[in-house]
Amino acid sequence: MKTHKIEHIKSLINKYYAGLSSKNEEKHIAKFLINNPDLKGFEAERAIFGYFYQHKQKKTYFINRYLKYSVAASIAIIMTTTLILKMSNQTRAYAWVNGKKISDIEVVKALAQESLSNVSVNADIIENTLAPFKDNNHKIQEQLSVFSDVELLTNDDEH
Amino acid sequence: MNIKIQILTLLFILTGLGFAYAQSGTEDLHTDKVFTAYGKAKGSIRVELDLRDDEGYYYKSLVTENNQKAIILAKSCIEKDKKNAKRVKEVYSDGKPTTIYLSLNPKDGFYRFILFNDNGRKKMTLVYIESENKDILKIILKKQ
Repeated sequence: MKTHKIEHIKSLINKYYAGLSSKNEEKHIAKFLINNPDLKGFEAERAIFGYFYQHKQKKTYFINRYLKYSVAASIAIIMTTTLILKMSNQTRAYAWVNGKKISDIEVVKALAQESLSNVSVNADIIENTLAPFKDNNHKIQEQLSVFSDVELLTNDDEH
Repeated sequence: MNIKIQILTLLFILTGLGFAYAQSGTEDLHTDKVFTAYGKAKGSIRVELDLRDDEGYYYKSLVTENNQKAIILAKSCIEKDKKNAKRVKEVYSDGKPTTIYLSLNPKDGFYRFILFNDNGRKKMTLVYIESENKDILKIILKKQ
């Protein structure tokens, strides 16, 4: 081990005890002590920085575990949702009558027909309402056809 | 790092929920509120029929009786959805809309229709139809 490196670490440790060291310097001390476990004269510091290092290791482990669980849970949620949706798509025929659920497809279809009949009756109303206008439209066309010759004459005059 | 993981987890969950939500046809419509609010109420009949694989359409309807609040909500929601409609047909009786047909702008290649009827005797029918066939409404109504 190079003496100047040890001296540098010692100065950093002194700085640490004086409360003047930066985080990077503390990391540097910790890294040095971990990489040189057999170096004598640093037992107290090794205990201090070793504690912090262990603490940090535990935190990393917790994060890794949390990440694994999160990803697993997310995949499970997505897969379950997909499965439920696929299953529900196969037999998605439901009706609620007064809040009571019915899943018999024939009953549901009958209810659908019934509800649709309420609006289809009115579809005829629209057609019926428009019918007089259609008739009028024919009449207007007929009446205007009388003037079609006039239009041709007007065009000839222009030339 | 911790925040990144939390965001990632949240994104995964939201993707799953979004996927689930995207399957429903009316979720982006104001009319959806009516189905949600009165679908399971007393005096209501709500139908949800997914026949996209068999007959090529998705059908959702709600019939309410003696529920003036439902009629008011449906009318106000339809009024809002009307802004995104391609075609609108309305029948008025005594100055009030009794039948409304909305042909909405297609979404993801699906043609969407809203049909509403207020029979004037406190009975309301609200129908939502979705299909890849633009003439589906004619086909279904002809079957009647």
